Amino acid sequence: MTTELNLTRLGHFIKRQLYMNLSAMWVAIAAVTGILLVVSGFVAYFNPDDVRNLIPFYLVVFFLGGYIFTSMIFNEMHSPQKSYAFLTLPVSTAEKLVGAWVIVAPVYLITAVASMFILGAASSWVAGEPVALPGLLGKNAFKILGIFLVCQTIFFLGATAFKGNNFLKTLLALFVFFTLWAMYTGGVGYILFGANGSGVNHGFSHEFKNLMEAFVKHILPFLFWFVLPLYLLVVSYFKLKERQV
Amino acid sequence: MIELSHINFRYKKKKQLFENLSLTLQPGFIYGLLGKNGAGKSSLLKLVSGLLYPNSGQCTVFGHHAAARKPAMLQDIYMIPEEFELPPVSLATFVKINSVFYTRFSQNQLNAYLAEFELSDDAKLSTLSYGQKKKFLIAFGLATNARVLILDEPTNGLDIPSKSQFRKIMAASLDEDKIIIISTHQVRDLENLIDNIVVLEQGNIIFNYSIAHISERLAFEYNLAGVPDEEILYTEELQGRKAGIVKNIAGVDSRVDMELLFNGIVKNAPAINEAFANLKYEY
Repeated sequence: MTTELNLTRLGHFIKRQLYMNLSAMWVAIAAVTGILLVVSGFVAYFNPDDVRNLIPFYLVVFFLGGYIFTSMIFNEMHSPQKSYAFLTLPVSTAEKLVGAWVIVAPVYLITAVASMFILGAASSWVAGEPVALPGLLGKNAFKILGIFLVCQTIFFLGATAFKGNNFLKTLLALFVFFTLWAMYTGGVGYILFGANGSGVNHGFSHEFKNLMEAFVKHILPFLFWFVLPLYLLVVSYFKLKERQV
Repeated sequence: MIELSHINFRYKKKKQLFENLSLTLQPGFIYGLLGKNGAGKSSLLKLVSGLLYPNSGQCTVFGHHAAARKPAMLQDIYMIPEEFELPPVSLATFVKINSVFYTRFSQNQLNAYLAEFELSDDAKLSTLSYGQKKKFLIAFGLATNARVLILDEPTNGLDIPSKSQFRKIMAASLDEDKIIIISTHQVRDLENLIDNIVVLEQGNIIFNYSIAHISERLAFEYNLAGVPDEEILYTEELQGRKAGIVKNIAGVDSRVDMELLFNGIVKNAPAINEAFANLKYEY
């Protein structure tokens, strides 16, 4: 425990953030749960065989809701009339970062997964088909949650970097980034292989294939699972630290 | 002690606000920070509380760099801005979730201040009027026992009884460890409260003296008829007569008229400052 990361203060900060946003969170939770409940009810009652297909639908809502929630986690800091309270709160930047992440990641995950279980169980019960739950516990479940957590760090950075409409601005930034990335890689591909992809069938193709295989199998997953989220969290830390009113 | 040393600051794409600004604020005093709109009062307060970072120079609060915003420094600062928004929770909840960050917070003091301001702790913050919210923030800020209390236009939105309660509470809460900085346009609200006057004009400190020195060196007259011209430092029309600031030749301490003084400083700071010529300038 250091002056920069004090666990007691971190706990107080998490509690404060939850209390301060409790009413807004309840409204959001009630609205989303209500909609899901109605949709699940309709599916279970009118189309019992499709109850299993509700899980992907829940996941889409869970992902989307999580990213919107993450984008809003620093709203207090972006409001001109509230930012003074957030920035002068005797909590270190590291505690603010970790505290906010704990709320949007583990706390949100547990709440969302529990809600999905309850909804899934309820709709299976209405459909008279109590077998929908394993869909949530499938072998890809942890991978899906992992992907959610990694992608979430992008929205976490967006929450610290943009002032207002953070979710939409993050989406726009992603769109611009991937467009530029596609143009760049397309250009590089064109230079390397030409218009017909003829380079693939000649000289360096075997070595190149091995290199690409190693890159895709080992380096890319490592970059995605570890380097990218850590890098984004570190950048978020400095964004918070540099933040002025 | 708060020490601003050679501060240079500008907002993005705007002209320089502070150029080589230095200022020292000592514990045990209430400072009145005065100035016209856009003089830089709020920006100066934000620099002190670490909400803005200087482009160059240093701002330290009891030895901590303000811009570092370390918890040790932040628990010694409580800021009440002019415009604020409180969360939709009850007073008691707000206190419960925020007081834990201030190690010297006193619930007894808070109860006393709330009683003085006639606020109940089961009220919901969102249902309070602006003036009541401000009184609550002032009470909470004082109860944190932060050594630096910064109030930006604290009397805005307060009714007349509340203004007098405010003065009473502020005067009683000062001790030798605390620095209270009050920035305001409503200079009359600070009468009999502040110990030092700091006047900002276009990012420069044009006046910085204690009330004791001011009342020793200046006298405030509401009819200048018969006063020799060489003693007059500033004049203005007041209900058909000439009122003004004159040199306190007799040396008898006089009541400081804050409004007259502020007008005099803003209109002719060199003449007013001349009366303090052989005093050590305090910044």
